[in-house]
Amino acid sequence: MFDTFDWIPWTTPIAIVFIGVAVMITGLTIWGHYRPPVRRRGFLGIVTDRSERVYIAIISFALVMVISFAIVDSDTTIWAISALAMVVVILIWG
Amino acid sequence: MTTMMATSAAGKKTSRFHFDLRSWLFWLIMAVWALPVVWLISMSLRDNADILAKFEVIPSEISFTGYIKFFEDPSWIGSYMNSVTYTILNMVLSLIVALPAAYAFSRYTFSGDKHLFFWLLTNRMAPAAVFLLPFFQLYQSLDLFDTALGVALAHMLFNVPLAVWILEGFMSGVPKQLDEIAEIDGYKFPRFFLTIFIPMIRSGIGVTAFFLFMFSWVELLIARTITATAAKPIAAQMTRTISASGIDWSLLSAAGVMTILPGVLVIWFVRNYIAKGFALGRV
Amino acid sequence: MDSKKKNNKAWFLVLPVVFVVAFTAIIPLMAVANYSLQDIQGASNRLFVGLDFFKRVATDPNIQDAFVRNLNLSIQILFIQIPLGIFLARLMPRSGWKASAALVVMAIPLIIPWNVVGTTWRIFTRGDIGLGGVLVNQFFDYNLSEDTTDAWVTILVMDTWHWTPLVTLLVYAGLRSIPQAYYQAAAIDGASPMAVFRFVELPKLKRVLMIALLLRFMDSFMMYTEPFVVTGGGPGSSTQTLSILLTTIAIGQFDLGVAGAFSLMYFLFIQIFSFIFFTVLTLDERPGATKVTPKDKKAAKQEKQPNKVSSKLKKVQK
Repeated sequence: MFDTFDWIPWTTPIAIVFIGVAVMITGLTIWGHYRPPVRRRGFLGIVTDRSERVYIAIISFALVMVISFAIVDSDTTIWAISALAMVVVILIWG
Repeated sequence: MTTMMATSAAGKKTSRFHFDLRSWLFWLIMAVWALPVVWLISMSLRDNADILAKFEVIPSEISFTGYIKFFEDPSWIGSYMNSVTYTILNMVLSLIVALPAAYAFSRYTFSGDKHLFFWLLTNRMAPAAVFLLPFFQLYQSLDLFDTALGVALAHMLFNVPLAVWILEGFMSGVPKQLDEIAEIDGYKFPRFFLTIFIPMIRSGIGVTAFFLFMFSWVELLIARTITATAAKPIAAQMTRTISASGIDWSLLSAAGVMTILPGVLVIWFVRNYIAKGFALGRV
Repeated sequence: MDSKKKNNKAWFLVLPVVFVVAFTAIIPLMAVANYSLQDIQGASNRLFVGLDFFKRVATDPNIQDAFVRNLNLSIQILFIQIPLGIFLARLMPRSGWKASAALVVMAIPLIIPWNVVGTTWRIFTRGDIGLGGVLVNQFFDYNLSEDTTDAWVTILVMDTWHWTPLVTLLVYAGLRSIPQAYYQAAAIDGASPMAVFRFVELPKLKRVLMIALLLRFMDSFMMYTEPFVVTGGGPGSSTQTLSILLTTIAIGQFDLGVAGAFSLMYFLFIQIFSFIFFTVLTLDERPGATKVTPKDKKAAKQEKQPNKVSSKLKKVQK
C-alpha cells in the first residue's frame, strides 16, 4: 500500500494542502449531518449550498493567483491576501 | 418532417413519387462524409509501390500485401491483440465497479451525492496529458508498467465516470416499485440485483459497454505512455512507424482498416439502442 | 427525484468507484502538485523552489500562445459543429432501415481510434497520394506542412468530420423524443419551418445541446492525438494545442517542475469550465431555485409565532 505513495517526492506545503482538503471534506460532511446546509442565492446569482460556496471560493482563489502569476513582478503576498479576502466574501455572502 | 407533412396533407399516393430533396441532400452529405474512410480502404488494397507510382481514384489492381504483412508481423498483430485485451479488461472492470454505484445514484440520496457525481464527471473532462508523468511513475512503482491491466486501470479514469453516468440514466427508467416488490418477496439485495435488476437493464449495459469500448479503444496518449513492448497498443505501433524513414502506406492503411473493424462490429450490435443511449443525453 | 430514499448506506455501493477513481485521479494529482514546487535533478537531489515554476509557466509566451490558440480552436469548433450537427440531425431519416443505416454511417468516425483519424486524414490530404489533397490542389496551392492556414483549416475540417456526428446523434435523439402532436399543432397554426425549429424543437433540445456543447468544448480543449499525427503541431507551432505542448514538456523534455505547474493550471481551467457548464445544465433542477426575499422571511416568522403561542398555551394548560 505504501508503495503507492512512496515514489511521490513529497513537500510539506503540498502534504498540508491535501490533508487540509481531506479534513475540510470530512468536516463539511459532519457539519452537514448535524446542520443540513441551507440552499440560498447570494450575490453570485446562483443557488448554492455551503459546500458549493467552499468549492467556488477555492477555484476563484486559485484563478486569482494564476492571474497574479501571469503579471510580471507582481507581489504574491499582496495578491494572496486580497484573494483570501475574496474567499471570505464568497463564503459569507456568496 | 417533410415526408410526414406530405403524407398528412396529400395522402400516401403522391408521397411515394415525391422527390425528397432533404433525403437526397442527406445521403449526398453522408457520401462525402464517408470519403476519407473509403480512401483509406482503397489505399489498403494496393501495393505500396503501386500507391507511390501513380495516383488513381479506383484501384486498377487489388493487392493484399498490406494485410498479409499486418498478420504475419508479430509486432503488428501482437500489438493489435494487446489493444483488444486491455479494452475488454477495461470494459469488464469498469462495469463491475460502475453498476452498484449507478444503482446507488439512481435509487438513493446520501450525504454528498451531488458533489461526488460532479467530481466523477470532472474526471471525464480531465486532459490525459496532465496524468502522463505521474501515471508513468505510479505504474512503474506498482509493477503495472507495460501490462494490459495497467492500461485498463488507467483508462478507468475517464471510463468509470462515463459508465456511472450512462447506467444511472437507464436505471432511473426502471420503476422503483420493482425493488420494493422484490424485497417483499424476500429477495436479498445481491440476488435481486444480479438475477432481476441487471437482466432488466441489459440494453443499457450494452450501450454502456459500447461507449466503454469506444473510449478505451480510441485512446492513444495514456496507452502509449505507460507501455513499452509487452503491452504496446496498436495505436502506438502505428505512430512509431511513422517516424521511421520511408512509410509503408499500404501497411499503415491496412492497420487503420483493421482498427476500424471492431468498432463497426460493435455499432452493428447496438445500433437499435445507440439512439436511446444518446437520448439520455449521456455520453 | 423526490421519491428517492435517503440512505447513507448507499455509500457502500459507490465505494468501489470512489476507490478506483481516487487511485487513478487523486494520487497522480498529488504527484503533479509536488513536482510543481521543486526542482528535481535526481532521486536524492531536489530543491524546493516555491511558486517559481508557476510564475515561469504563467509568463511563458509559448504556453500563453498555446492557451489562446487552443481556446480559439475550441470556439471555432463549437461555432461550426453545433449548427452543422443540428442541421444534419434534422435531415436524418427518423424510422425504418434508412434510420439504422444513417445511424451506423454517422457513428463510424466516432469509433475510429484517434490516431487512425489522424492517419486517415494525413493520407487523404497528401498532395501526391490523397484524394482530398489532389482535389484541393486543383484550385488552391495547398500544402499543410508549409502553410499555417492550410494546417489550421485541415485540423478544423478533420475535427468537424470526426466529432460533428456526436452532436448529430445527440440532437437526433433529442428530436425523436418530441411528440408528433407538437408538429401537427404547429402545422395547423401554419408555422414556418424556422418557427417550428425555434418554438417546438429548440426548447426540447436545450438539454442535449448543453451536453453537446460541454463535451465538444472539453474534448477540443484537451485535443492531442489527431493534430499530433497530422501536423505534429506545426508548421512552427501553428496547430500546437495545450495538450501537445504539455506532453512535449512532460514526456519529451522530462521537465517535471514546469510540467507540474502547467498541469495544475490546465486542471484549474478544466475545473472552472466544468463547473460553469454543470451549473448551467442543472440550473432548472436546483432545489430552492426561488429567491427568498426579506418579505417572505417576515411572513414565515409571522406564521410561526401563533404556533409558538399556542404551544405555550398548551403547556400552560397542562
